[in-house]
Amino acid sequence: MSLTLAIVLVVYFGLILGISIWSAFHTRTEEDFIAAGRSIGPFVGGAVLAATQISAGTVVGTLGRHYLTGVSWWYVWFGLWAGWVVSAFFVAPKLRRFGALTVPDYIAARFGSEPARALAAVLIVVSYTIYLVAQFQASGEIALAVFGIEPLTAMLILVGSTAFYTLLGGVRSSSYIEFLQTLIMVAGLIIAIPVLLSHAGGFSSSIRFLSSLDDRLLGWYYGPRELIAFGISFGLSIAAAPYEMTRFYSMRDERTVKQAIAISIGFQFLIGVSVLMIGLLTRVLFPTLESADQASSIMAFEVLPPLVGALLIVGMMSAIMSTVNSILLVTGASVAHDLYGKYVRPQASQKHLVTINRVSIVILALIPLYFALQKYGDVQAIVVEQAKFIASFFFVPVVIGLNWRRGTASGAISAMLGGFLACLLWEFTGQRTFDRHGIDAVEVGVATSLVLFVMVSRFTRQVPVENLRIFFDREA
Amino acid sequence: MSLTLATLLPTLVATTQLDSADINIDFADHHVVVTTRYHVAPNDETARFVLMRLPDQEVAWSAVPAVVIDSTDGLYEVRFGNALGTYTFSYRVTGRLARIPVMVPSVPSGSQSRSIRLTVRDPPAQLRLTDTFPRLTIKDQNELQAALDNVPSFVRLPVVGASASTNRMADASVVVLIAFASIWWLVRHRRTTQA
Repeated sequence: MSLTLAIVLVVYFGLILGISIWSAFHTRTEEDFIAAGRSIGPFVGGAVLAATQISAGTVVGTLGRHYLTGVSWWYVWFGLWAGWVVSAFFVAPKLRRFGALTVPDYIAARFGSEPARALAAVLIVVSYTIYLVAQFQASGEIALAVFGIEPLTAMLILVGSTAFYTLLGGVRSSSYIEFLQTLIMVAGLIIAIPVLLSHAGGFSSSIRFLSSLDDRLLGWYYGPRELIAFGISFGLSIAAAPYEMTRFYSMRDERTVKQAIAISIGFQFLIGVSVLMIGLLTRVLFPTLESADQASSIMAFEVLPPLVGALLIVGMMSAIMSTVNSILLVTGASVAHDLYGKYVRPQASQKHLVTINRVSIVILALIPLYFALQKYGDVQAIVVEQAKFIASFFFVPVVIGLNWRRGTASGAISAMLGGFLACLLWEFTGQRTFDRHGIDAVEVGVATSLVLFVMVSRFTRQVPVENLRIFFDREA
Repeated sequence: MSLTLATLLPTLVATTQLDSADINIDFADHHVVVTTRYHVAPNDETARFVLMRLPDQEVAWSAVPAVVIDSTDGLYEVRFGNALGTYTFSYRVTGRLARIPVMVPSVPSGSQSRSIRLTVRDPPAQLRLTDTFPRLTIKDQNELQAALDNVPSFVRLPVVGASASTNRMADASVVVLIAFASIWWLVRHRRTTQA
């Protein structure tokens, strides 16, 4: 490890420690811990949404995917941004107005059903455990490439440090830390491009070299049907992503949420273009890396000047930490607030719930370690799988549920369970013959969820009007 | 292409891997001689190698080790009919020498053991060491070295005055950006607190 990297790491983690301790002094209630006292503004909020979105899947997985397959993967971003737009207009304002602490809170209130809340909480924990596997695996790849340390050691350090600042300050500390992380990432990625271009000999030379390696790198490595499937997975999952929605709750008001989403898309565009270019240019400089997931860390460590490289490595680790942190907050809240607080000990005090939340975070952080060490797929592939499941069980109850008042509790439960199982079943059966029919598991999952939601809602008891009022106040 | 988890990514990982390599670049009058030696394991597998010269360069082979395909774009592809285990190439590059093309094997290196040794002998006197790619360290007066995990497709050796130092500019930009962001943040925070 270079001296510059060591100094940047020490300064950065010193800052994180300072923010966490400051936040801990400002965290007294469960609302403070989960929703930062609803005090986050549009710019910090936008950076936070971008930081939560820009995970290991982006800096390690997407960059690696561009390294390996070229330009065509970039079109997947359009699906993702479409999901953000849906969220901005049809999800976020209503959820922020509702002002719950967790997404299962919304499910319970909207459909007037505690079993629906419990199911949502369980599905969140299951699907986000998959997501954590991708984050942990990415941290292992970076640690191996940059520091030469074993993946398990790196993952334990990641769990320890992230759990530390999550436990100390909850959403307040993580929001400010994620703001800092986004700035570092955007700056590091943008500054890296001219350096890489300079090493590679400019655009035309790079394009010529890439074409000679594989002409699909600059064309259609993936076909439109595949890209649409990837785009749907990301778009539908982001429109109903619990960890993003939790961040809406921490913002000042509905207007702030919309502004934050627009700012977040701006950050994501910059990061998306940078990641595409860096992936391609890294392929020019090192055409045969053993693992595409190592492209980002090797580029930062071997190619970039010391300070930019060190910042980018810190930025990548930060991106992983911020996503792990967001997920731990959501899953911890699901266990403590939605399961323990509602079913095990409803009379628990605020202080007791915060303690349970913190204990859950530690336990839930350790479970994915085992799976990450097995390395079932590359980072981006695991992220895609998780997105498919989230879209399959949450898109319909959240997005349709917020905009169609006839949806009932039984409809929501059927939609969540049916969507999840259909996606899982197709993944192990029909997905293998995708080439022939072009039907992806996410499409099967979401379609099943939608059909069940509409059909079951038609034939079951309507939700009481008082539950609907807050979400459909103009109609009520 | 099937999109299942196991087959989602067309992977570069292969059973054949680059065990170690020596890349030597010797500067002479108006040209460089590049000698590369690659050890591929297991040694019963054949390998393919690619070299991409720049438009303002000429490459002359000292010895043609196998079938060399010279494309019109300056791409040289070398294929071997039989597995050798160790593959040696030597070629002379003339023209602009700021970027020296390196023969790249199609197989990845299999470890993080820094087993690829790069040596540059008698580099230009005005070489800007901070901007080389890969990063090189001075071994003695006439020799620079690097130990790498992966084979680069070029070795960049910029000389003073040829262009501005991108590395220094990049590092300076980061410092300026951080300073600017910190000041902006402090001013904004103070205003918010006062309000």
